Amino acid sequence: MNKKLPFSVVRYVKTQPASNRSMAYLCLDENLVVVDSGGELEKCGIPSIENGVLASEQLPAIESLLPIDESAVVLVNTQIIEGSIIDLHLFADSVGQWVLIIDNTEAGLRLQSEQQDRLCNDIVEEQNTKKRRFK
Amino acid sequence: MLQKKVCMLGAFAVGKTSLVRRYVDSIFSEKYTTTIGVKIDKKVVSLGAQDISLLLWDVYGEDNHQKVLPAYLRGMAGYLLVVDPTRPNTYKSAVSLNKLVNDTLGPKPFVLVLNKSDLKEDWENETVDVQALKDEAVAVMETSAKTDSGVSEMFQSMASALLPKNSRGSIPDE
Repeated sequence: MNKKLPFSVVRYVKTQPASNRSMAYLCLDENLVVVDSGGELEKCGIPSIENGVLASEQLPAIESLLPIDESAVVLVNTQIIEGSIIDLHLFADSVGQWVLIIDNTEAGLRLQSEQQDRLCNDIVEEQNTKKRRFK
Repeated sequence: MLQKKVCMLGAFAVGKTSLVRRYVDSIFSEKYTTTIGVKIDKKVVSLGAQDISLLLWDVYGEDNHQKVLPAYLRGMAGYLLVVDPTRPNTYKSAVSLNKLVNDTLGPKPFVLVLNKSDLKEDWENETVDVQALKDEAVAVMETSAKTDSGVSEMFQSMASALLPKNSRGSIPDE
């Protein structure tokens, strides 16, 4: 498995906001078979990936998203494996279809905690409004 | 095996995650835990002689601060549109999410899910006209993730709507 990121991935990452998060990638051929993979798959919560096997068999979550034939698709805060939050970037270039996985567990958990507080407040507010209505 | 992406869509705290947890893991928790982004699970549904694998995309709920992004709908075959009738405003989110799907992908089969049937005495009337939504839905079902009422039937109804027309049969009892 390659630890070094290929040129297509490096070029794509340069278009994204600066990040020092763990990254991993899959490169797929026109039949959506994995031809290359690498980076920090384990740190991104992705089990080992085998070359020569359909990507969707190894990561069923991406089946409906491929192939990419237009601009990149980005799905932030995706949870495929319990305890791991990733951003999924899918794009294509002359080399193939790329699945770029960027770990976002730390920021995702922080966001979840903030969102939880906010929505719990919203629920309490809704309940109070309802009580006032029925008084 | 046939595999289809199904999204759980609805306002925040209507019980989307609880329905998935109940169906996939047979568990229910009273504690509300918000979903950020999307959680993806897989469940094989048996419909008579035919199995279908559902990729369940439990998408974050809409609230005043965030709307569902169309990217999450990509490749979706059908959806479960969940409302909490104890909070009639959640019908409004259902109407707008249904419009988002139609505008993004065109019409897709969906089940309109009236969740929290264990709290039926607290259900209120809709604040918006949802008759069109009810007419468009392949089914309107009452569920309770808490008591497990109607949950597997809801997923089976969705799965059945996703089968090719010539292989649809009656939905068996579990």
